[in-house]
This record gives sequence, C-alpha cells and structure tokens, in this order.
Amino acid sequence: MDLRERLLCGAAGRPRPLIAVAPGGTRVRLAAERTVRTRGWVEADGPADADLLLVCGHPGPELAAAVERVWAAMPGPRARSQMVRAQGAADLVEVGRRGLADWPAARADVADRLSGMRIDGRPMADRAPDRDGLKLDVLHLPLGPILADWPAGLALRLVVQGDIVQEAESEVFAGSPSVGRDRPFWSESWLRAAGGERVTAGDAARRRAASHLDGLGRLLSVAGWPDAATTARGLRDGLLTGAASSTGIHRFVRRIDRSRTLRWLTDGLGVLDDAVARKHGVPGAAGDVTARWRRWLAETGACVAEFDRDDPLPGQTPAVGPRGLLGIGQAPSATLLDLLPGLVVGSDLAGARLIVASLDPDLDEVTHSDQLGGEPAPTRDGGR
Amino acid sequence: MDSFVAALALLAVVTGAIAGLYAISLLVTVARDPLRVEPFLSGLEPAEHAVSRFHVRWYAVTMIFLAFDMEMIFMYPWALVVSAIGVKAVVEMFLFLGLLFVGVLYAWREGALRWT
Repeated sequence: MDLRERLLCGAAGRPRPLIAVAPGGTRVRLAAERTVRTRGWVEADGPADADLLLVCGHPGPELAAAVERVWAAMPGPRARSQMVRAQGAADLVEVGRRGLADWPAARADVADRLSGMRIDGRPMADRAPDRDGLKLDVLHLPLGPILADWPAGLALRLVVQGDIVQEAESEVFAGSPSVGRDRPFWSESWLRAAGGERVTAGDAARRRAASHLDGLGRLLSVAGWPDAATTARGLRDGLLTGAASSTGIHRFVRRIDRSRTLRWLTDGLGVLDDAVARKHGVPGAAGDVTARWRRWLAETGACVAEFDRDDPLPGQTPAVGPRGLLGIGQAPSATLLDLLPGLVVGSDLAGARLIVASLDPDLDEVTHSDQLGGEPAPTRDGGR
Repeated sequence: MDSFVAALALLAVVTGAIAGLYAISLLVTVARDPLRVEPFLSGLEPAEHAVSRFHVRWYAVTMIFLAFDMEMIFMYPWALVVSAIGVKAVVEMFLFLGLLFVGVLYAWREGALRWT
C-alpha cells in the first residue's frame, strides 16, 4: 500500500544504528561513527532499539556468534552492513539504510525468522551469602562484546548480587585470525617511530588528543551527558581529518573541567594506587575516575600547543602512548585488563561502567602481535 | 453539567487519538505477532532466569517513605488551620515530626540505611 511504503520510507530516513566493533576495526568504527554523527542519527542502546546493524572490522568466530545473536534479537524492519575498510564505510551505511525502506523485503525477512527462542529453559538463579548475613540470588551478567559506548572486543563477566558486583573476570573476543592486522590505531604514531619511520611530533600530538577525546566521548555518554559526548566525538573527527579547532578543544576542556556534577558523580570510584599504576606502566590510570578524566582533559589541552610541530618524534623505547608505556613487554591495555576486575568488584553496575569507561582499554593493542618487541598478550577466545 | 460535558469531550478526544495510534501501528506493522527473543546480554547467552530478589536496602527506604507519606497526610489539613490556631499547633506538629524522626535516627545508627 502506498501510504504504508511512504511511512516506512519516512521512518527509514532516520534509522537507529547499532555499531558492533571487532578488535582491529578502529578505523572503520571511526568512519562509521562520523557518518552516523554527521547525518544526525542517534545510536541505539541495544538490538530492541536498533534498525541498522553496522559490523566494523573482521569479527572472530566467537564474536561473530555474538553478532548473530544480536542480529536475531533485532525486530523487523532491519538491515545490516558489514564494513571492513574505512574508505567505503559511508557508502555501505547508505546501502544498509536503503535496505530498510524495502517493504517486501521486510515482510520476507519476517517470514524467514525462526520463532520462539528458548526462553523458559533456563534454571532459576542460585543463592549465595551476601553481606549482613543475607542470602541473595546470584546473577551472571556479562558486560559483553556488543554494547553501546564500550571498548571493542572486551567482555567483562560479572557475578552480581542485588546489583552489586561480587566477582569480575575480563575476557577478550578477538578479531578474525585469518586477516592480517595493522598496528593498533591509537598507538600507531609511537610504534611507527620506534620502527624507524619518520613521524612528526604534531601528528603524534593529534593522535594522542584524538584518543583522549574518543575515551571522553564514551565516558561522558556513560555518565549521562550525551551533548558533551557528541561534542567530544566531533572534535575527535576534526582532529583525525585534519580540520583541528584549537579554540573548540579549549572551550570543551574548560566546560567539562568546570562541571561539578560530573565530579560528584565520579568521585571515589575505582581508585587505583599511584605506586601500583606506575609500577605496571600505566601512570595515566592512577587515582579515581575523576582523576583519570581530568588527566585526559589536561593532556588534550596540552597537546593543542604541539599540533603544528614538524620535528620528528624520537623513536625511544619505552614510548609514552595515550594509555601507558609502550615497549615494556606487555601492552598498557593488557595491564589495564588485568587491573580491571579488581577495581570493579564492590561497586554497583553504574560504577562498574564508569570505571571501565575511565580506564578505556584498547583491545587492538592486546590482540596485536607486534608490541615493540614484547610478547603478544594471551587472548582467551570467548567460550564459557 | 457543563463540566461533565467537557470531561466527556476530553475522554472522547483522547480515546480517538489512542485508537488512531493503534490503527496506524496495525497498518504499518511488518508482522502480526511480536518477536519473542531472549534478553539482551551484549550478545552472549544468559546463564539463569533473570527473576531475582532485590536487596533489602530498597525496602528500608520504601518503609521510611511510607511512614513520612502518612505524616504528610496529617500535615495537609494542619497547614490550612495553623495560622488560625497559632503557636500551639506548630509546637504539636513538630513534636509529632520529632517522634517519627527518632525512629529514623535509630535505624540510621543501627546501619539499616547503609547502601553498599
């Protein structure tokens, strides 16, 4: 019916995309996020909310299974796009969107779907002692690989009682092993300099500032300030495409730094001892969540002065990357993954998400095998 | 009688609007039955049924709310007549509030209101 198709086309003009990222797909994710942001679309929180599934990078077998579960949970009309290269990402997003406006395809899709997944086959929750001499139900909750504003490929398996985290275990869902991997995107400048290539200090400063803005975008989104998160991502995209605005960055840094509500929200969460952080090579992760995001803001502001530097970056080892020291044997993100469960235990779910967002491990570093001469970090591929 | 006519008219408008929304959804829906899926656990499978009991900290806060809610019910008529009666009414009401607050203070000191 014509009216129906017209309504569907109107709705398909503004889909809600759900972006699933595999480790190694950072460039693709940045291109996809830029497309989504410039077209004014709002990202979905989960599959029930989503119309368009954008898979960035090459997921490994376990991660692909997770993507299939998310795809199966999306109600019709729905469309999906698999993107492996940053250049064609915008076109593929558009192709996906146009697939949404296809009424006959949507009906056919519904007819094909398996109905009735196993909902009532699960056992009831077991009980275990909690504080105050109570016994509360134990829930196994994964903050899993495919989640909005979450590091790609990380699964944090939590044991939760009454919304307080009792145990935590981090797990890595790697990208496809058969695909050759580039260097991790955020530490690329320092790894290239250490490999002997000529990298200007200005490029490195831009990359560092963009990495912090990326992390800040996720943290502000999790903390409930989507407006500031969009600004951070806009500034990050500007830096990466070469149209950096230093006044914009300074204004943003001042605005977030002044926010007393954000400090109140994040004070005292996930405290990491200064000495421990320095010993493990992640000095930027010391303190509580507030200290970490304030450090990001300060470093971003400081990097602005160095954007125009032309001198080459000294290829020293260890280099100070955006997340910690590179070249000391284990990637800084692997260290952050080791420290993460200890910091998260005891907080509630919102606190756990804020702590993860403030540490912001980059799993590209963990799953990549060329770490300035260090050993590749062992990855446990999915599974239960 | 006027006010009933207005209320009925509003009811008719609202019912018409809701019926219209349902009609539009029936028109553009892709399938008759809603999709049955498992809960979203970031792409992984759930280990157990999600029904679970809440920690008692929420019940403590709810009980306190209920107690003070009942006290508020007494305060509404009091607020209307306090200016006529004078200081005596104010003193009595604050004694009442004080008695209620002693209970909350006891619970607080015993640690019943601890959150995490």
